[in-house]
Amino acid sequence: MITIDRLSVRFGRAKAVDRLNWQIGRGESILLAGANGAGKTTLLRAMAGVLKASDGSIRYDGKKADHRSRKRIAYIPASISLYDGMTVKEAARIHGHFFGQSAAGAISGIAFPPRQKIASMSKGEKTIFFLSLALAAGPDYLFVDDVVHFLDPHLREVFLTSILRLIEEKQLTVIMASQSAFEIEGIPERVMIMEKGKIILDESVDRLKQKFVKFYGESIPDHVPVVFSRQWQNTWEMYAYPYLPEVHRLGSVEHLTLTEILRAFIGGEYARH
Amino acid sequence: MLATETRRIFKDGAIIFVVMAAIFAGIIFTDRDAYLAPALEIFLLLYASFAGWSMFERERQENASEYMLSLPLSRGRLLLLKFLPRLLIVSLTLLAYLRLHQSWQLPSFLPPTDFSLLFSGFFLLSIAFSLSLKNFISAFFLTCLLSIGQILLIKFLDPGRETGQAILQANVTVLVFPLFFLVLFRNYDIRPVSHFNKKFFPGLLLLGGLIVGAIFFSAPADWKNLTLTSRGLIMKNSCQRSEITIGRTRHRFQGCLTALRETADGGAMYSLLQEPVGSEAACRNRSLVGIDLKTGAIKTLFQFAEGWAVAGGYGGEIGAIRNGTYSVLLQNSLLKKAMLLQVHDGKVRKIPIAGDFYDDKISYVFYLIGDSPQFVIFSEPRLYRLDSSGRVEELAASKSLNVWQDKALVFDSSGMSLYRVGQGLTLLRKWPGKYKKILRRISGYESRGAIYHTDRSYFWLDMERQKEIKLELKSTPYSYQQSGDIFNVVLAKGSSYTMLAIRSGRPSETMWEPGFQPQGIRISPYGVLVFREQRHKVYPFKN
Repeated sequence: MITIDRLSVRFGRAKAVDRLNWQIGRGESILLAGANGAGKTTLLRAMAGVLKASDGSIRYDGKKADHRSRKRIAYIPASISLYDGMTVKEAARIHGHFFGQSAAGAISGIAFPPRQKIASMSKGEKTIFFLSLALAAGPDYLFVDDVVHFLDPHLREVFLTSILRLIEEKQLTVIMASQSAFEIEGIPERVMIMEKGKIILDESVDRLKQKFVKFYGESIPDHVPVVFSRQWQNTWEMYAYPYLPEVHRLGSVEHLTLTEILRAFIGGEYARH
Repeated sequence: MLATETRRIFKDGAIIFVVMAAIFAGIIFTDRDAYLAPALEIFLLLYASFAGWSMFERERQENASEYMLSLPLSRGRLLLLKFLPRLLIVSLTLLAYLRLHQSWQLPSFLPPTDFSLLFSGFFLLSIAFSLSLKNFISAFFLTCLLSIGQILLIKFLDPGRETGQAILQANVTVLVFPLFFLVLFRNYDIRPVSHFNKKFFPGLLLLGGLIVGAIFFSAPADWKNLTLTSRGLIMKNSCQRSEITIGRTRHRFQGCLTALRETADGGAMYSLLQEPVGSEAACRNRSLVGIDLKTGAIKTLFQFAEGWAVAGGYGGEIGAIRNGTYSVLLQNSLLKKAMLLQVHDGKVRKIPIAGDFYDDKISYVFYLIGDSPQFVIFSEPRLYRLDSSGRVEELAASKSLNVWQDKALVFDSSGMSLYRVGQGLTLLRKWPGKYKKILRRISGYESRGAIYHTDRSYFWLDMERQKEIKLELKSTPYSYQQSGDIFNVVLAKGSSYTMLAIRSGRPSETMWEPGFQPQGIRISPYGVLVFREQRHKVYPFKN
């Protein structure tokens, strides 16, 4: 269980995360979404301990996060930060030294020559190598920051299959920051959308899909919570959330994929600002 | 991790090691040691600095900062993991150098201890810049500025300070920078380094400012001369400024105040105020002033015109005070003229001496003040009278004399004579034979008693009472001072002193260790003052 209480992270005067409260249960898989600069990376960095909170706290199973809790966390940053000058063997040894190696071979079918330099890997290879290092340590929490798009379809499948397996087998808690759900559709069961350092949506994927609809009309109705709209000639294309059929009583509505929902949410944010 | 770090440090610093090896080979195989050995030391300092600065260079180069910070290590432990291999390598490097230095007798610009201190300082100080500065040249420059710059500043403000001491002080104070870095590093995270630097550099500037301020504040005032008054006050002067501490208040004055003569009650001191001309070596008389020794107030009594100066003598016994009037003889080297200056109740009277007169050898002047002022002047080897008409009359020949108020103990080849100085010299007593004066060496206040010796026997003569007592002394006295009936004799051996207080022929002996080798000693009825640079100590006589 991760408990975040009034967490704020500031960069000078700018607040990247602003008094954020959040609870994540064990074994949950969450998609952390939002526009550029929403605070996704900052939040993941604070949770991984590489960024110090300006205020508030993060607790793992009730204990305040410190360097000891980092041993249970596998964090794959968007920068795929590893010692590029090391060989595969050296990196594995160093990682194993600090994090332990309780689940060697966590990613099957992927092997790298021990003498290969990390600097010689492509971004996708580096990502999957990092994931294999991270998962080999048997973490309780996996934080992945927008790296899936580096992977080719094969590696992406390997990546996602490995994560799914660990979620099922070991109740791994996974938080994946991404601006799109296209590559990871099927993995997250909960979605959190951030805007300017705050959570503007926190919903299970199933409920979100039920409550998020697209509809058309000649004008924007006052009684419907429209989060994003655009006009095509004389017709308005509108996205509503939360849509309650018994209250809002619209005629025909369309239910959308997670990718479409995120696109509409982020589009709405740009339209508002 | 430790092994990886150690290998990495060797690898990164390999180029400097290669250069050092080449220099060392040059030392062995050529005769250019004088140039190459100091070069080796410079490269060693460069290496120490590099080893400290490169603490996070690998993370910078290999994009591994975020990975490093995500390791399950506290910031303190992380720093220790980075620090220990470096400490090991720089220590081994230094030990190897010291061994080579000893074995090959390498010439060096610093002794091994001082160099080791500087080397350690460079290493530790450079650690402070390991995050903030991406460029090693900048880090090395700042390290040099804070370390060597500080040493140079200390030496500049305190030229008497030994280089080793300056290096020690500079390297102890620069430790605040890595300690400050350590404090900030506890909160270091993946934010851009500019966020770290926003705290680091203002702190660095503040600490640097505090260190420089402390150096300025604690630097010796460069006092050239100290004077001990009859009541134990200490006047300090340099060519630029002077001060006297009365009670708990320090009174400071511009220019160099030289004590001329203190009033009998110890309430005021007539002094000469001088100012530097061009270099510090040359001073120009500016004015005659009176200092109130109770309040520290200074009053200008007379401004000197070009060429005028006080006739010579020891500070503290120049001029004469009778019936509240201070008299002092002035002479002008340019005009070859003299005049008597008299100060009474703050008013100044000038009495010119007719005709031409100038004597640059004057070492003592007796003032015979009446309707027509006269002076008995000792200007080795002459003792002569000068009157206000400018007439000079030879009185005696002498190589040395002792003076107490109107009495002069004159030594010449025929013996020793005690005179009362008046219109002429009135012989009070004569000791025919070979008598020699014991030099007081230090002076400042006239002594009622004098020591002379004949055939290695020392005698104390009380000139007031014309009474002499044989002294049992193991060595030649360094100085002496009689105040009242107690005769204080100072015997010196190195930096330790034996103080003899003699009353009615019975001496009491006290050993005195000031704790430093003095560069100057002063004596007054109050006691003995020794000083060196900023330090001074006073031995009060037990009167």
